[in-house]
Amino acid sequence: MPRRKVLFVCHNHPKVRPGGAEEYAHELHRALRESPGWEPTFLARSGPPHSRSRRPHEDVHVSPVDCVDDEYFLYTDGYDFDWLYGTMRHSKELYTRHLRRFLLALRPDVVHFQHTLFIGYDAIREVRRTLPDVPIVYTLHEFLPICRNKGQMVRTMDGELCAEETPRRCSECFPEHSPQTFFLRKRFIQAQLGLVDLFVAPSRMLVERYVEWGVPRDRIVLEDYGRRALAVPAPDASRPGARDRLGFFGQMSPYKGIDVLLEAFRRHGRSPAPHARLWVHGANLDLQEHDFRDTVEQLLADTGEHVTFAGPYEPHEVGALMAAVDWVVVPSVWWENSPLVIQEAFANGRPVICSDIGGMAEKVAEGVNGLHFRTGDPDSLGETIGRAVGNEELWESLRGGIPPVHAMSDHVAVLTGAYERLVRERRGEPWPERVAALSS
Amino acid sequence: MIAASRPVAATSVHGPDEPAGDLLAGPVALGEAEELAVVGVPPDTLDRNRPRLRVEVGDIELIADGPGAREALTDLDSFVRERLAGLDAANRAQLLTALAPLTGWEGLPPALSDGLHAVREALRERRPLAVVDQRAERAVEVEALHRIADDEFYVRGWLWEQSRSVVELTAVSPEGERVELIGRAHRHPRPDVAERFCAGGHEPLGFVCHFRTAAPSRRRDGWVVELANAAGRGVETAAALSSTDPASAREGIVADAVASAGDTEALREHHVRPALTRLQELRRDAVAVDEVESHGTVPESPEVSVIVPLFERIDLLEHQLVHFADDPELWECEIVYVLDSPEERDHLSRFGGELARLYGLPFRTATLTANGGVALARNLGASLASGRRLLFLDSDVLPARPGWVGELSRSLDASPNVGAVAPKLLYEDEAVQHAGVELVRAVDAPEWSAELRMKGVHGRLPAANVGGRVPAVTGACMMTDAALYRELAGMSWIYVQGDYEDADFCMRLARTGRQCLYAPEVALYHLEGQSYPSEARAANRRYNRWLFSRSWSDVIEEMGR
Repeated sequence: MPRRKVLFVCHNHPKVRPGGAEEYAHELHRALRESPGWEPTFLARSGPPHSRSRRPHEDVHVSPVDCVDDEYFLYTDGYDFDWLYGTMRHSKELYTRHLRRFLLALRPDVVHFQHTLFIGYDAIREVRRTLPDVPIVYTLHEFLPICRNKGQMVRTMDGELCAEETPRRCSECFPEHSPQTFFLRKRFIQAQLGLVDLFVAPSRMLVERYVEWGVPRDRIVLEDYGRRALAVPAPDASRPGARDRLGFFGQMSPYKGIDVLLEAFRRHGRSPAPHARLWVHGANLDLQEHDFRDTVEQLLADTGEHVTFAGPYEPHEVGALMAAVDWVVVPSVWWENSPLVIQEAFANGRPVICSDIGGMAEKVAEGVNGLHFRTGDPDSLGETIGRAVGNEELWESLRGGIPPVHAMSDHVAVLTGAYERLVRERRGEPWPERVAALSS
Repeated sequence: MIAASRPVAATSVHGPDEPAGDLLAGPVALGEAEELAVVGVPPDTLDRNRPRLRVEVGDIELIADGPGAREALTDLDSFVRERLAGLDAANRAQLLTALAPLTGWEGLPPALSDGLHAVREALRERRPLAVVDQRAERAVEVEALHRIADDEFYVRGWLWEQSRSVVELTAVSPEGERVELIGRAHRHPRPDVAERFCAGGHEPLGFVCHFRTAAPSRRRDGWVVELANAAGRGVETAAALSSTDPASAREGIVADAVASAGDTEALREHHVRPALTRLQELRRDAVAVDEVESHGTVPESPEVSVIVPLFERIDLLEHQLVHFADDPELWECEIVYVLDSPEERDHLSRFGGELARLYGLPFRTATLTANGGVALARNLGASLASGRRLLFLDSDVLPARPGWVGELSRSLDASPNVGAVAPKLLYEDEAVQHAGVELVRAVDAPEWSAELRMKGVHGRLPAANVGGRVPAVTGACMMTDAALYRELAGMSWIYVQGDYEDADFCMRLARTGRQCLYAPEVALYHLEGQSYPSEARAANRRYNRWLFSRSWSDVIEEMGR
């Protein structure tokens, strides 16, 4: 029997710019290549301003990634992405002409959206229009459909965490848009996402947020990211009894809380514990706003020899880098979903010190395989680091509590099982509007 | 001899009781240059040797014909100065009176207007210019002058006459026609003016007047308003049109209707309403369906035609289609978008085409020749509709879930004697926007006001969910019978800027023994109030409310019994 075809649609290719969701999506694509029943194709959005290369051929918006036969770029050059509605502002031809042409040529059996950022929710509509019987799967990575503030659910005026979106509150965050506009936005996005047959959410918190927002519970499945098994986990190279090496891995953005971590070191006379050292493996500091960059640079200067800024790293280097630390710190000040860095730390046998909210608190069990601190509070973080550093007994206990990592092979089995079920019984109809107010 | 060709029948250059040729001997004609006027001037007003006058308007050439033809003057100004200016005042006035109606020609050329204006300037008796000074014995000022139609005007201003014996208040058109306003104008107190001249605040120093001229006048400037007292002393002031387009004229007049002190009823009845109604009528006459574009194949013999006026916010089309596309019933409907802002025509054509490709749902767009307002847009949309039922929908109304068209249709079927049905409309925060319309006594005026029932309460409040007969319903989402709609001539175009025409339509239903139905089991969202109402909009509402009440108080009172 010929293999069925699944098309992954992603907002970026990791070759163009690194990022957690796209790394995961591409890894999933590579794992599916080896699956006996499913043949994957990876369609990654490309084009300015986020990538350096422009589309190479006249009137061609979909073309192969560096000659590979199952990976394509979807060039959005010349289209104007609207951040508010998540759509192409002035023209729909990207969907009705270029994407349609590709869909009709490829004829996938399942379309699995990993992201629609920079592409637009209309791409879902286009798939449904052109391939009416093909199931649509959509993985939720953050809160972009719900929250205009880059999907972070953090309020713009003070950085406070937001637990509830309403048109009124959204308009408070973005006064240039009326509550009515935010209502239009929500209804537009819901109408497009209403065509999705199955949502995949990697954390329970995401499942609940999206159900509250209007996704029917029976259309969403909790399924964590899968990751490839490591040949050899990171060796334990620490000096016995010290356990004083900490590591930060990830984007140097305000949402990731790097400033909270550095501040914790600064306040405690450059280090929360006498010997504690921090290695910052951070990417994209250059993309941050000036004020934040200045803050981080000042903090790095103030914390002196206790903190080493090592810069970005390649995905394959992470094991070696984690081998050189005892603790991995995840100080994000937004909710996070299922942070890949936590998976990475666990795969390498490293307990995690993290903020006590959202996906971090869900994936790291306090006192079992890691420690929580009060989100955004450098003193709480400092105190927690002080408690952890030098505590061999605690470290061993937490290391012992680390669960097995969700293997990519298991993940693929879950997803392909879902694809097969959906192909058999595609529902297709949009979800009925959840307007409780009207049922009275 | 006269160089003349086609006579212009429309022009009468002599008084009705005077035999032709007594005052001015015709004919008036168009020459080869198509702008040639020839008038005969009575012998006693001119040198007997030069009994005729030729006015070639294209080049503004005025020639005295006859024995003195060789002395023809090629310069209007010098001709007027040399041949006419020397006449006595009575003759000059007579001549002016005779010349002004020349503008009655169809297609009045600007040059003729200019020519006549030049003649007027040379011939007319001038009064001293009004000076606004505390010690002035008399003064007059024009604050607004609007052209309603070519021969219809609206003026607002004030006057001051120390002796209180004003006998003439005369508007002089740029072409020389005199219209007496004193008996006709609405006079009202102007405490601000009174203060300047140390007069009583209650004295009716302000005036407003809607008036007609016998002949059209098209110049923007050159108006004069004269004031004279019983002793024959007077002043004058120059005036120019204060608006260049009907929309600003409308806005200015509506503002007067709500701002003036004194007897506003008389002001509105005799000056504001005739002026605004005429403006609205001209607007109606100017607006038609210019072009219809079909996107996809519209269903044949649909049960329901959905008519959506679109004004400027073309983006709302997408926000409706995205929901319509997921509702199988909408695929059975005929959907007509009526573009009431024709400047968006190309945008709508392109964007509509792209949306049709993406969503697949067929619809038509009809572009109007000019902005006509929501009532005209609905009526013109209805004229294209082939459904048995009409469903009027505003572009900022979004369905909450599929199935609403059928539900409205069934509730109309199930209710005998009901002429229109409307659903519950909610704001984005689940508050009620519409739960039927009630007609109540206004608190600030002896008028009936159409008010949205339950506005602002939560949509789930039981009181907002009691359906049934209501005095009126909104036009933002209203279903009615197509034949009935046509029988009642659709929605009234007399209201200014989209307000009250829906309540007016419901009164037409009531007058023919039909009722309105509120159907709370069907709910949609109405994102009204994307911007706060401007002052101008509030003024429109006040005027429209007055007009509505004036038109329907008998029917409303009958309903209340």
